[in-house]
Formats: sequence, C-alpha cells, structure tokens
Amino acid sequence: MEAGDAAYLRAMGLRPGARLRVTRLGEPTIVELLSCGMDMCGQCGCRIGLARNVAQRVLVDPESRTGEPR
Amino acid sequence: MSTETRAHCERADEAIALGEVQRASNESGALRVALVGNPNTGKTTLFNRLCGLRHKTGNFPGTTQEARVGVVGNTGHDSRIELTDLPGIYSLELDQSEAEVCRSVLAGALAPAGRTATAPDAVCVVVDATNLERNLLLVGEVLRRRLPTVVALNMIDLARAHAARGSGMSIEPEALSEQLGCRVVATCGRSGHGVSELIEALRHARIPNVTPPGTRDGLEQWATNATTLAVAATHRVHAPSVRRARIGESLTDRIDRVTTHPVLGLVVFACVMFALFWSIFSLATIPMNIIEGVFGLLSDRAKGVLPRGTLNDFLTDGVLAGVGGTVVFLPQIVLLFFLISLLEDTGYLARAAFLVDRFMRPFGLSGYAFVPLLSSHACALPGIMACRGIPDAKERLAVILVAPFMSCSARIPVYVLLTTILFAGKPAQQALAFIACYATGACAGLFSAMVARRTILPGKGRAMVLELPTYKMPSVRTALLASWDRGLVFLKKAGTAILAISIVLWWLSAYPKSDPSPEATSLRESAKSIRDDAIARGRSLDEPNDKYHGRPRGFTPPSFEELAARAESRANAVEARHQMRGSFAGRLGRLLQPVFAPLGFDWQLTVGVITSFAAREVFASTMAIITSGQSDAASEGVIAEIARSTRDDGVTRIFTPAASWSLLIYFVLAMQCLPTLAVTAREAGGVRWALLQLAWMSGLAYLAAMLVYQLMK
Repeated sequence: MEAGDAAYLRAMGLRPGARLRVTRLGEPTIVELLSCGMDMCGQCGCRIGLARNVAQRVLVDPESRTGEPR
Repeated sequence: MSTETRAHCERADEAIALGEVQRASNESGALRVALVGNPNTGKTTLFNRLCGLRHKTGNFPGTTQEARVGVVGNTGHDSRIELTDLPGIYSLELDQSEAEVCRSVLAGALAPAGRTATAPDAVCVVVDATNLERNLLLVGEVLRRRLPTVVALNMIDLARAHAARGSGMSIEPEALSEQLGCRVVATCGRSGHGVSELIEALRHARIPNVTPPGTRDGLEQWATNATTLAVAATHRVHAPSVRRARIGESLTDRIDRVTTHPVLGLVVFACVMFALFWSIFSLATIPMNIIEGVFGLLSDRAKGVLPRGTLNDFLTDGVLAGVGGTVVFLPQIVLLFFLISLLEDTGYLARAAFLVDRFMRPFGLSGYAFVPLLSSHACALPGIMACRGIPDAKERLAVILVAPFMSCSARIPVYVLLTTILFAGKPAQQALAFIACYATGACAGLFSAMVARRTILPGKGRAMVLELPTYKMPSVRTALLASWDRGLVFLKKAGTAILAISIVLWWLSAYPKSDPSPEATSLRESAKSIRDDAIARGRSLDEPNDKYHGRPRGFTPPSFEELAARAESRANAVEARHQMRGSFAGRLGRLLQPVFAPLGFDWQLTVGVITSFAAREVFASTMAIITSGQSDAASEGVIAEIARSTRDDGVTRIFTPAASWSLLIYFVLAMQCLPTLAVTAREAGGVRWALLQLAWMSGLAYLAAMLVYQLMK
C-alpha cells in the first residue's frame, strides 16, 4: 500500500491496534470501528467502506463473535 | 488617557495574559472563527444552525475549495461572529487540497475571497460524540496550532441515545474539557441544543493549556488516553450509562446488505433515482404554472400600460420573455437540490458511490472519480475543481476531460423544455426521459474516459476508501438551506448574465426593422372587413357569423369579433416571423443553418444552439424570445408557446419529435459552456486539453444528434 493511502486510512481511524467489526465482506468491504479497545467503550458508529483490493492489504487479527480475544 | 480607555487597555492586557480571543487584527471588528471537523460530524448542519440564511458561498482564491462564510445570529452582543466553514478533513497533515486549505487558513496565509488573510481569532473543532477517539486526532492537531479553541461535542443526542441503549458511550463535556485543556460544549446541530452556549464559549475562547505530541504515534496515544480518561471520569458520575459494546447485526448492517448488494443495490439505486426525478416533475408543476402566470400577467400589464413601440417590445419581448423563460425552471432546480440534499443526509449516497465504483473500474476510473463526477451534476466547474482530490495524475486528467458530460443544472431547463414537449401531460414518461438524459451523459463520459485511458492517458484507477455515515432521518432545514443557496445562484445568473444575453438577443432579433409583411397586411384587412361587414348589416359583433349557418346541430359558430380576432392574431404571428427572418439573428441563423441541417435544426433552432454556447440555459430564453408572438393562443404559457412555434412555412413545427430528440441528444453531449473550457485549461495545465475537450464533445454530440434525426425523421 502506498504511503499516502496508508496515512489516509490511519487518519480515518484504521490504525495499528484499532478494533473493528467486519460487517460486510466483498465489494465493498465494510468495517465498523470499535475505537481504542477499552473494555468500557462501545460502538463508535463509524463505518468505513473499502474497495476489495484495499481491504485485502489490511491485516486483521480476528476476535471471536462475542468480542472476546481469540 | 481617559479612565475608560485605560480600563479598556487593562482589560486587553488581562485578556492577553489569559490567552483569550483578540480581535486586533480584524478590521471589521467581527470575531472570526474557523469551523473545522472530520467529514460526517454534522459540521455543516451546525453551521446552518448558527448562521441560517446569513451566509455567502464563495471560494478560497487560487484553490479548488468552496468557502462558506456566515454571520452568527443576533446574540445580544455588539460584536458579530463571522464563521468560516472549512472543508471536512480527517487530518491537517494529509497531502490533500482540503487539508492544505485548512492548514493555510489556520496559519493566516489564506482567507475566503474578498477577505484579508490573517489567522482566525478562534477555532471551533466539531467532533462527533459517537466517534470520539478518531475525532480527537484532528482536535490534537488543531490544539498544537496554539489558537484559541473550542470543541463542539456534536451529535450528543445520538451519543446519549446509544448510551441509553447500552450500545455506546456518552462523555460529559466537562470530563473531556479537562483532558483537552480547552472549553468543550455539547451540541446538537439538528435541534439547536447547546448552540447558545457554544456562541458564548467562542466569545471567550482561550489558547489551550495542553499541547499534544507532534508525532503520529504520540498523537494517537494522546487521543486514546484522553478518551480513556474522559470516559473514566464520566463513568464515575454516570456508571449505568456506559456499558460494554453489543456485538451483533444492527439495522444499519441489514440495510447495508441490501443497498450495497451487487443486484439488489442496483434495483434500489434505480428506484431511488426514478422516484427523485418523478417527484421533480410532479411537484414542480404547480410553482412553474404560478411563475408562468406571473410573468404572463406582467407582460400583459406592460403591454397595456406602455404605448406600442420600442420600449414596450424591449420590456415584453426582451426582458420579460428572456428572464421568464429561464426563471420558470427555478422550481425544478430548487427541488432537485432539495431532494439530493435529503438523500445525502440519509447516508445513502455514500453507499451509492460504492455501487457506482464497480462500474467505473472497467473504464479506467476509480471511486475517487465519483465525487467530482457527482458534483458535476450540479455544475461542471466545482466538479472539475474537485478532481484535485484524485491522487493519480492521469486519472485526474481523464476525469477533468469527461466531467462536462455529466448533466449539470444548466442543462435542466433544456431537458425540461424538450421532455415536456415530447411527453406533454405524461410526468412518468418525462421522468424516464430525464433519467435517460442523465444516464446517456454518464455513459458518454465513461466511454470517453475509457478511450482516454486506453490511448493518451493509460493506467488503472485507484481503489476506493470512503466513510459510510450512519443512516438517519434527513434534516429538512439543511436541505432547504442547500436548495436556497442553489436557487439564489440560479436567480443571480438569470438576473445578470441571462438578462444581458436576453437583451442582446432581443436587439438582434428586433433589428433591423422589416417592411410590413404582405400576408400580415392582408390578414389585418380581412379582420377589418369582417367587423365592417357586421356593422354595415346592423349586426352585433358578438352575434354568430352568418357563414357558419347550416353547420351540424350542436356546433357553436364563432362570432364576428372572434373571427376578426383570430385573423389579427394570425397576422401578428406572420408579422413576428417575418420580422425575425429579416433580423440580424435570423440572418445569422440562416447563414449557419446548413451546418445544422443534418441534425434537423431550422434557422431558429440554430440561433438557439449558437447563443447557448455561452451558457446552456440561455437556450430556453432564446427560444422564448425568438418564438414570442408566433402562437395564436395569447394566454398560453412559455413552454406551450415554444412547443407550438413553427418554421417559415407557418405549418411545420420547429420541435418535431425527430428534431426534439436530436436536439436533446445534442445538449446531453455537447460542450456548450465557455467557463468550463476556461477551468479545464487551468486545471489540466494547458489550453490544448480544453480544445481537445471541445472538439471531442462537440463532435460526438453532432454525430449522435445527426444519427438520431436521420433514423427518426
């Protein structure tokens, strides 16, 4: 991924360590940012749509469906 | 030094010591506030709530960005607050034109056109209370500028509603204020909650006593810590309102599943677009009829009050016919922007962008081209200027070249005129034809982009990333203000450029004066003889004419007066056509008509097409002036009068179905806008690109219109 694209994603909140929920896979992939990973924090209401080839370059470490670390 | 002056100076020194807002640099005495925020934080809604109609839309000189400057309503203070709405950005540090504008404004190096560039007296950062941590990154960047700052914790109603449902958090402004070192005010742009408090906070804004780190990593950590501590502080006060996230499928997920579905999404998109345009045609009829009636009344009054002559003709056939022929389309334009604004506010348009993205890739474009192309549907100028946001240079150039293919608002009067003529009294078919025009323009643009990307500008489009706002009920107030803005721009154009062109056109079509037409003279003599005959035979003019005796039962023969009036009306039409044919405009039209003959245009349509090269919407007013007085029906509306107008033979309509379709296709595709060519030359980096655009679009339009006419005639 180019530096400009990575900086843009990071400014949008898709930064290292960000928790997110994948709400749709495919074209587009839609993710919902769950903020900073604080236990008390809830949904941010921020959804980001990613073209498939961008989504493929974002490394995600999955958690279980209940939100607990795998 | 007087006591009063000394007190004032002491107060100023005290304010400097406290870091409060200073207005020494502002010659107008107004407190100048820059409004900054992420996209989708309700920044514009808050701006509208603060300023209402007291704002002007312009641009930042030398940039592509629109600038809205408003005055905050009467707050009971002597000094005004002048608010500048800056473009929505995610970060001040990004290599984007929007971020560059924001950086320059905050540094005092740039100001909206007509204003002096100095640093703002205060900055208001609008943050989304439901998405705090991400928004705090921008807040941190602004705080580092060391300007008096206030944070508007906007959409607080949604955050509190989420918290109440246990699906989010609600942070108290005081808790956040402690972390940010500046005043934080909870607001809701839609309801107006907290707005008065925000205005007061801006008046007393101070330089923050916190300086966030300068590195990206440090700033992110600072934002996380600030959010965590603010949540923790709130948690101590309102423990029950902050719970763990609910992980599961939400209503938004389910709606997204449909609206972004490859097939269902397209069906929804088609339905939404059809409903949009059908509404425009159905609802705009009433105000259009009223406007037509008003201009008709004004014209009749002017004709009745003023003596026959040049001034009478100038006012009725020049000013009123020209401006009336344009203003009549105002309801459609206002309604279009009102409905688009509502649609945008619901959050649907962002999903539609992804739908469109899939179809743009085969044409060598990416989703980044969607916003410029969508903007071009309002006007090609902002659309072309928005191309600066496209990162790939070749793709940017390709989009600049094809943006004018998108049907702009200037084409609306032409589309309305021609679809109304083609499908009179059939709003559903008019709406379909209207959509077809938009679709044809978009397809031609994509086709042209594909040609460009495979020949002179080879390459692939970049992948798309876009924030998808939460679905919500749209704000009618915001939509009204958006349509008000666009309506004013259109009216301003109608009252200046179009009025000037109308006057020139009237002069070209009124001079030189021709000798009386023999046919018209004969018809007037005929009218006179009908009246004389009735009087000679001792009959009343209102009695039925004898020559109709013996007609079938139930037929009401016209009176002497009606027959005479018809002959006079016909004489006027013949005279008008005779005059137009001999005028400068008529001579020019006839000179160039052979070029447009394969497209089915007579000399009158040729005049309309040529004059509309300056601006497309002039076509309707040109035809209104050219055809003025031709129709037999004195009281019919502008559109009906244009539709009934005939060629030189007095029988064949100008707007035959084949000629109307040909003309419609021509206007969908042709490059009929001088300002667009100028902006293309500037943005693309050379006049040769503008000339290429002109040649390609006009050539394509000519060929397509000729094909349509030759197949349909």
